[in-house]
Formats: sequence, structure tokens, C-alpha cells
Amino acid sequence: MLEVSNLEFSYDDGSPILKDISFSISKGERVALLGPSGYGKSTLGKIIAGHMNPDKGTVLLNNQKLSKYKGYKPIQLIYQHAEKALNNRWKIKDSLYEAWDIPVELLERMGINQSWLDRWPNELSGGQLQRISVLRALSPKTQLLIADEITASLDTITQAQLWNVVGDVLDTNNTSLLMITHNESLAKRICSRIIQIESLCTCT
Amino acid sequence: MKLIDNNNSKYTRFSVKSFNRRQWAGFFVVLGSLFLVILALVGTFMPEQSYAIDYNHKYAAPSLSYLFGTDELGRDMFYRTLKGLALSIKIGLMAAFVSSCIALVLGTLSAVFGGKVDSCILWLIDLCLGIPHIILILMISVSLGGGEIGVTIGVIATHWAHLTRLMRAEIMQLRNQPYVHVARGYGHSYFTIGRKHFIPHVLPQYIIGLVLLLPHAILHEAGITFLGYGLPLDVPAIGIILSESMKHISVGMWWLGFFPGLLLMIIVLIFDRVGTALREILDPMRSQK
Repeated sequence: MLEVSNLEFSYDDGSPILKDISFSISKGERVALLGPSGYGKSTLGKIIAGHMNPDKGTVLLNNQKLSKYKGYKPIQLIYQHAEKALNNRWKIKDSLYEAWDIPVELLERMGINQSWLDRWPNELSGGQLQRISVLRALSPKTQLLIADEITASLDTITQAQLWNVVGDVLDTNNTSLLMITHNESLAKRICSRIIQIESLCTCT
Repeated sequence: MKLIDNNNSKYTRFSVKSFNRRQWAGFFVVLGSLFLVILALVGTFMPEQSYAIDYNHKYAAPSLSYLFGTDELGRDMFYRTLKGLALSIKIGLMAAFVSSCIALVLGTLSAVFGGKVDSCILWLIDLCLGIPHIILILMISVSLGGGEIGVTIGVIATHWAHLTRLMRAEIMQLRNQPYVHVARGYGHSYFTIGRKHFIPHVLPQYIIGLVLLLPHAILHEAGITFLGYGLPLDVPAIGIILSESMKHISVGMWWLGFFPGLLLMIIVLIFDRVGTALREILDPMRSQK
């Protein structure tokens, strides 16, 4: 389903971050991208989601470029810091429904209280914001969810709850998952395949 | 316990002080704007008789019946000054408004499209800032045949550059925010994102920039008219009044230049203060003070 081939990327200073990266993810598969910090995991996630353009190489979803898809994109990226992914001048409900028509039942399952909707992002905690940010990406149209360290700043219980709900929704919609993390035990619990970024990257 | 009390009183004192300051800024904005609006209205709807030629009262020094004195044709300088200032405010408002609209559009285009569009707009900004304003306005005004239209277009064409730079920088920084990328991922067009994410964010800077453009525009209009390349001689513009007063200043008729000049300075300072007070209210970096 997702085909990444010969991806190359370097930041402005010229040193290559990603070099000759190729891998694929099939439908419904859950893959973890594991590796130490500074190896370009997040950059790879942003390139796959179309938030950044690679220097070379292609990212194809069902043999099509992501830019060919109109409307809600089938590849969604969730950022580690939810507060940056939400416009802090918008109320929570505006940010939520900017994404898609989220059913009330899903809000409840995610543990999002109705009273939060009329608040501003700075009135909620990081975990609460992350639930909102995650829910925005969980539309049935999402074919591949990229979760970039989404629970790194949460406590273990909240982390487990969040992944339970995400797992259920992914199963229901048959959505694939690319989980970017440095937490190996979490990766093993959730994903069926683990890719080490060092094994992909021929540089450094 | 004592420590907590101390902290409490400190906190209360600080918050009351800051509340007053903000309130004071708001009060100044309302008062200043009201004064300028009344001045503009009075000047615009003033009958021409109030500053008509009256040879019986030539060169009258300031008195209770002629507050600012009269000139060589016996015209009441008080009413001429008010008329001139109203004209200046009108031209200044129009020029600053159009100029800031240009800045908003060009700044947004520059930041959103980047590349060649960006280079082109930056080149225009450099071109505009590279030549002293007064010379550029002079050339544009003269080539358009002077008058109200020439001066207004001249001021419009020279005052957009600084604000364009500011808008460009603001929107460039916004463009790379994660929430903008995420909104793109939900399939929203740049137009929608511009309307819903960018414009509300840059609106405070835009309004402050607009108000702070006004004193510049007014001074440049007066300057160009003073030099004789602006409004025609029969219009009671502040620049004309000041340039006429030059002829009589050596024979001791100080009131011809003093009062109009003073009032022009006061008006410009009021605009500047209103702009600064607005910044205090609208700018999120300062509004906590």
C-alpha cells in the first residue's frame, strides 16, 4: 500500500539526514520506526505525510502521490507536541471539527469531555490536547496513521488508554500505522514489525 | 503566613496597576480617535465664509475674536488651519488605508508563494525604500499633475513597504507552524487557511501598522505641499499655510506659522499615541503588562 523508495533529504547545512531510504507498509499493518534521536525519524514522518518535500525519491500510496488525493488526505501525521498542532487562538471545538465530522460516540470513547469543547487550548493539559489531536487524525478516510512520539510526554496509564482506543479505531477502519518512537517495549506491544532507522540509513 | 500575605498584596498591587494601564490605553484610543473624527468632520463641513477674504482685518494678531490671527488677505487662520488639518487627515486616512491593503496582499503573496514572487516583491520593497520617500512622492505627484489625487497616490505608492515586510515575516513564520501543515492535510485550501488561520493572527499587527502609517502619511502630504509640488495654492492645506507663512515670518507675523505648525504636530503626536496605545491593547506580547 505505502511504497517509499530511494528517499533522500538534507537540511540547509547540506549534511544528509536521510539517504537512500526504501521500505513499504501493507494495508492494516502496524510498523514501528525505532531509533535514537537525531536520526531523522520525525523528518521521515513529515516527508511521508507530505509536510515536507524530499530532495530525491518518491512516496506512493496505492501507486499514487499524496498530492493527487483531494480533500482529507489518507496519510495523517500526529505531532508529538499537540499544543503546536492546534491553533491556540481557536476554541477546541473549532480545531476538532476543522478535521472531520467526529461522532460523539468517538469523543466519549477517547475520554473527551463535552465541557472541554468550549475551552481554549491553554486551558487543557498536554494529555487532554493530545487526545484531541489524535482524534482529528482518526477519520475513516485515513489509510495510514503516522504517530510521531504521540505518547512520549504522557504517563503510563494515559498512554495505555490512548493506545487502546487508537488500536480499536485502527482495527475498525483497517488503517495502517507507522509509529515513530524510541520506546522499544511500547513498540513491541503495539506493532507487528519493527524497523530500526539505522538499518535503513546508510549514512553516518 | 507573613510571606503568603506579602505575596498576595504584591500580586494584587501589580494586577491593579496593569489593569489601569490597559484601561488607560483604551481610554486614550477612544479619546484620541474621537478628537480626530470631530476635527475631520468640523473641517469638512465648515462653510467657506468662515475663512473668507476680509480686507478690513488684515494681519490681525491673535485675539479672542481671531484665535490664530489673520493673514494678508484677512482670512481667519483658526478656521483655515482646521480646514487644512481636516484635509490632511482625510488624505492621510485614505493613503494609509490603501497602502496597508497593498501591504497585506503583497506580504501574504510573498510569504505564501515564495520563490520568484517573493524575490520580485522583495525587489520592489528595496526599490521603494532605496529612494528617500519625499523625492519619490515628489516625482509621482508631479508626474500625475499634482493636486489631491497626485499627492494621495504618491503617499500610497511609498508607504506600503515597511508594513509589507512585517506582514511577510509574520506569515512566513505562520506558514511553517505544524497546525498549518495539519490543516493542509485535512484538505483545506490555502485560501481557507489564509482566511481562518493567517488573517486573524496578523490582524492586530495590521491595525497597529495602519494607525502608525497615518502620521507618516499626514507629514509627507504636508511636506510635499509645503515644497509646492502637492495641493494647489487655493486649497487651505496645512502645507500651503506653512509655506505662505514663510514670507511673513521675517516681519514678525509669527502666528501665521506657529499655530498651524503646532496643531499639525499635536495631530501627528495624537495619531502616534493612539497607535502605541492600540499596540498595548492588541499585541499579545504586550497585553499582559
